[in-house]
Amino acid sequence: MANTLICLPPEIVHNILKYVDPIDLARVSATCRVLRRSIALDRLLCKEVWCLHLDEPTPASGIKDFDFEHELHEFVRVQGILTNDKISVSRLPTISTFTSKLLQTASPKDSKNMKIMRTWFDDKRDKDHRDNIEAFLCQSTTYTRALLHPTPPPSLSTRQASAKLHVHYGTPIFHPRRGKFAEIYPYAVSMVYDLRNYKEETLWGPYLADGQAGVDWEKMEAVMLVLGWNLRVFTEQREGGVFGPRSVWREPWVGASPGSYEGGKAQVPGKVESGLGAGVVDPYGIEGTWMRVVCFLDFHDLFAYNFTSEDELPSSSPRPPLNTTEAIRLISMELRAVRTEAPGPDDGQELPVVYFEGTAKSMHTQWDPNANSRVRGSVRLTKEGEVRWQSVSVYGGEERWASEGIQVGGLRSSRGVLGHWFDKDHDVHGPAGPTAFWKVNDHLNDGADFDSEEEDDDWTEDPEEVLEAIASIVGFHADLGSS
Amino acid sequence: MAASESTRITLVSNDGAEVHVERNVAERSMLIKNMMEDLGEAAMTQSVPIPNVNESVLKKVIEWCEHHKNDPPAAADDDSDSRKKTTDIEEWDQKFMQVDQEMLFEIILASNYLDIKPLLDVGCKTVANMIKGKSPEEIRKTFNITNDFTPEEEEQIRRENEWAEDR
Repeated sequence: MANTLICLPPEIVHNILKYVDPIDLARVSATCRVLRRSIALDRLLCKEVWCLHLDEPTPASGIKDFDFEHELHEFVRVQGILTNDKISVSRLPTISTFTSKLLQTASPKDSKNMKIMRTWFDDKRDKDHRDNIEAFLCQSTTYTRALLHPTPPPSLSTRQASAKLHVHYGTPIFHPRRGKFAEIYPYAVSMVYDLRNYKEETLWGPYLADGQAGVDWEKMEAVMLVLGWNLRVFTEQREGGVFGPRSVWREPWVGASPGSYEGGKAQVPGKVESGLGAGVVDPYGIEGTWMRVVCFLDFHDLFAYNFTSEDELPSSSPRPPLNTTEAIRLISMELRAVRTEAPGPDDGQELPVVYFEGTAKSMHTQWDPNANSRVRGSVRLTKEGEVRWQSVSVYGGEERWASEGIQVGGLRSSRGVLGHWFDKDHDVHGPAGPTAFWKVNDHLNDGADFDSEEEDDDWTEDPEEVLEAIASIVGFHADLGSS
Repeated sequence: MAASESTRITLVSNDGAEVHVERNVAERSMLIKNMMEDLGEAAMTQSVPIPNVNESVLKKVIEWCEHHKNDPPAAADDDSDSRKKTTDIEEWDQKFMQVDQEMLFEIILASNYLDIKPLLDVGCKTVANMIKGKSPEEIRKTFNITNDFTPEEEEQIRRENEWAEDR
């Protein structure tokens, strides 16, 4: 019989196989020599199958030679790990590496990658349903310490992979499956306000002690948890606020991909923009208005927590959980790039270091002595390719607070930056705490601000505006209302 | 356009059968459409030989073209064609493709020869759906394929395909 699958011309076999599921390619190639050969020789097949199920990498991903065959195999592998009968926590690094790649290559609009990740990590809140969120997003030090029946913590690489997944996932998980965990918040607090985590070896930022600002995702996760908690409390105290549809910490995965701020209006990195001086480029998309949130502990509480303990803690032991009340400040920053420099030997080499300047205004009280300041800082790539932000707040010409952070999702992501703030002189007694900022729009209200130290009179505290700003971070109000 | 819609042409299958069909239906086939343009008026009076397709397959293909004669033309840019971005098959086409395997492959080959891309895609998706989720042995059984691997080759394939069975 002439008309069988293996007698068809190669282009028709190709046309058929591009519609099978990725895993079927392995099964088909194991049937007979003819089909094995036609799959092995078909250079385009893996790309076509990938693009049917996932996003074709955009130029914004920065990936030039995407290995469709390898990544398609990794897709099948991770899909298997996340859907099979047993849960293998030890596979977290494989999962996290692949989901990071899915985010890096996600389309800014209608992303198939994010759709698939939402099905993988689907919060059904159902006891009988397999819970990948609890299984894989809650394996960091913060979570394993909060277990009611403690088990030995997983390896460092597993914990880091879990925390990275959670930070990319981006909506703080305060209550994993009920009954198994104590409150998570006090454990996140114990990491964020442990001043031993603010030290030279980690450049005072949420980094590992590798001297190259390698990201410590467990610290990033704790920052996200603490800030998310405070934003939720802040919102709950203001019942009846009107919340807009925008939210950067609410939709899982959304915003944790390069170029997600522009949402597809791809701006070529390195393009000289209108407001910039001659020769200044802004590949990081600095210019515009940013919303910043800062939390801090009462200084006496912070000091007591860190320095008045009876027993000397071994340096490797975390401090005990701390259930506390923090202060929260929302700040509006207007920033613009002013100068670029070639990257240093410890920086990622793909982009220049860009310095910025701007102003910061508290959204709460303009008589607060910390309300209005000037800001300066820089953005660069780390060796790992992450986007690293450093800033300093300047009051009346004097530098006061500094910050270090990493932009979650990379270049021009809408999720923004998570990090630490601390005393610019690196005082070991603090104060220090968590901070985050994300871009709100591309506008600068008043360029004259940049040349004047004068207090701004036209700034008014508008509670609606503050609530709107918070709603742009979290949709907690809506979440609480529906549960 | 009523006049041209009612214009009928005659196709001749490779087993000598004459099939009468509306011109605009036949022109779902890019091959026939181009031929008509080349032949001009002559095509109205002469019969058009289709040497690679037998009567039963040709009638089946015409049936599909008849049902889809009012479909919007495929986008010029193949990549932006939404039909290529999904493995879904519309209900009528699913029923249409419920034929034995030999006919299925005949339709695929005929649509390839006649250059009817949407029909080719429906046929290929139908075959793909017969492959999905099956083990190598089940695929062999479905398509009457003989396992011609040596035990050494089978071992090598197992290693190569480790990614698919990693649990």
